[in-house]
Amino acid sequence: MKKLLGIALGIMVALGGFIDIGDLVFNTQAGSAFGYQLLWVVPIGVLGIMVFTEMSGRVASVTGEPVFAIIRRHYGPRLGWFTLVGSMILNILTCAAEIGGVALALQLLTDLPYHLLILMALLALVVLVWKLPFQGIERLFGFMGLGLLTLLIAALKLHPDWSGVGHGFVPRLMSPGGNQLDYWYFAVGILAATFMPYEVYFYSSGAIEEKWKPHKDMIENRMNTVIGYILGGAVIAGIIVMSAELMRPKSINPEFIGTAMLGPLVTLGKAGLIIAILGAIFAIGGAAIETCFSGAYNLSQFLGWKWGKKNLPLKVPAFTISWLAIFVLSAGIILTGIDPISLTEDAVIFSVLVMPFSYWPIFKLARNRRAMGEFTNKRLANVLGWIYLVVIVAVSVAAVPLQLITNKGQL
Amino acid sequence: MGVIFWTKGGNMEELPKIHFRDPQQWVQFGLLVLIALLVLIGCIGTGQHLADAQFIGPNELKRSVGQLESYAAEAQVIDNYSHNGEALRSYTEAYSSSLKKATDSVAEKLTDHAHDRNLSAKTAAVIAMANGLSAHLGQYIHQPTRQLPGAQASSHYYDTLSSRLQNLDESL
Repeated sequence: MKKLLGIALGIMVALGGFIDIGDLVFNTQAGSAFGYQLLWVVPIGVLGIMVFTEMSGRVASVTGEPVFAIIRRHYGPRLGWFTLVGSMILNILTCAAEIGGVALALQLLTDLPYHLLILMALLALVVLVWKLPFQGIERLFGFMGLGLLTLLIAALKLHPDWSGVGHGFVPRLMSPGGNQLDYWYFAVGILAATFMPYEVYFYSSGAIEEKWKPHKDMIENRMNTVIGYILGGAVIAGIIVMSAELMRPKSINPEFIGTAMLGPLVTLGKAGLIIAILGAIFAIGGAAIETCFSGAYNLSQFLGWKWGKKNLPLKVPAFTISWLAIFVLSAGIILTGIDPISLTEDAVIFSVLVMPFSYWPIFKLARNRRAMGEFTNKRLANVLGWIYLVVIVAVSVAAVPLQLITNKGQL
Repeated sequence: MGVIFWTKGGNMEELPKIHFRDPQQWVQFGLLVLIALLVLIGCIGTGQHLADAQFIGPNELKRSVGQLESYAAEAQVIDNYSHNGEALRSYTEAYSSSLKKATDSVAEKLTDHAHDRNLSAKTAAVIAMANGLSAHLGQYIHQPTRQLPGAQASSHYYDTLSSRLQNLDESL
């Protein structure tokens, strides 16, 4: 049971990283536009983020250094500041979108006005984060977010064409019958969402919050990454299959969170719908906390402030003010009326700016025998690390041009 | 060689130092410039896209018809589940409200922006269909007692609308 509870960090990071408000809609669009054709992107992304998250957790537990401390040391002030600023913008924009996403999901359960729900979501998040210990936060949002597994169940209940699903997992460079640029826009978008750097910022800081030790907690680190990301990947694959079965035949081009919830409604009825909406509220809420805390962690680690949720809020005032300020600023941004779903798609611009700069130093340090000792990367981790660094750079370079050329997949 | 470093919750920690060689820093700098340029081009491109969207040509009209087809199909699913009482009332209202806003926005765009003169009749037909769909969607929001039109009438309305939109889409 203890081991099961121990994987909450991985589940929260994976669900919050993979399935935020933008991804819920984006993956539904991918399934609607291309059927099963993009399923192959999911395991590729899942394996890559597993490799780097496991590395960041291992590095954090061995050296005691979270990602942004490593970035500060390895890049020096100039590139370090650039990465910090880029990541702060990404975290704040994404946090804003997630708070809006929580409000949109809450609206599906209540009759209250959207702007009031934004304020209620902000208040609830601040109170929960203030009151709960780090493990309480990860368990509440990680396990409650599993309600999104209803999307996977919905996909299975729609009786997909298993041969088509199988073919979908075979990578292909061209879409038969589809627009090739749109196809690559969605493929790169799914990968970019998988490699959102705030996942490793939060995970590695979480490992230090939980005081992981190299010998004792390596299995927990691996279980977190493997189980967490497999669950997250399964939900994403489920969304794509559900959408391919339900939306594509009806020519639905999903734009709203309500559309993604049609699957559980149609297959599981009212109970399935409620569980799916609750799952979305907690997964998106988890993403809001993840991005907000990533901002506060990054700032504190870069500037050398004392940080950590494990400390009483008043014992780490700069850290506490940082996360409070990020929450309030993010809520302020979304209160201006910006569409949260578009905002997550636009935030990808800043994620591609910081993505290679975030993953490279983790890999570099994980390969350093002097720093990591017996926990240095083995051959497989090195090979996968190099391959995925190339993938990350390719995604970074391709994401923004594809977004613009295809007008966000609307060619 | 070690270095005093100031992480790990603010504690002083001695950790081995790792040096980056100069060529790598240059590669990183080049990458930075490349990405910054891409973003800049991206911003300009977005502005152009917005400017292009001001004129309603065949492609833009086709896109609007596609959007309405999608909204009508979604509305039909909601309608089915509202009639048999399986959908949550709040879900139906919030989802219908989002669809109504999006439908209104399509109608507004087609009404406000200049369009190809050869497409006047088709544009007017699309606007009329959008307004009709918007009014239909309004019923799920404004009638809390769920006094919706009969299931059969609703189904007929959506079937006809989808068929008309599909015909229009094919003609563009």
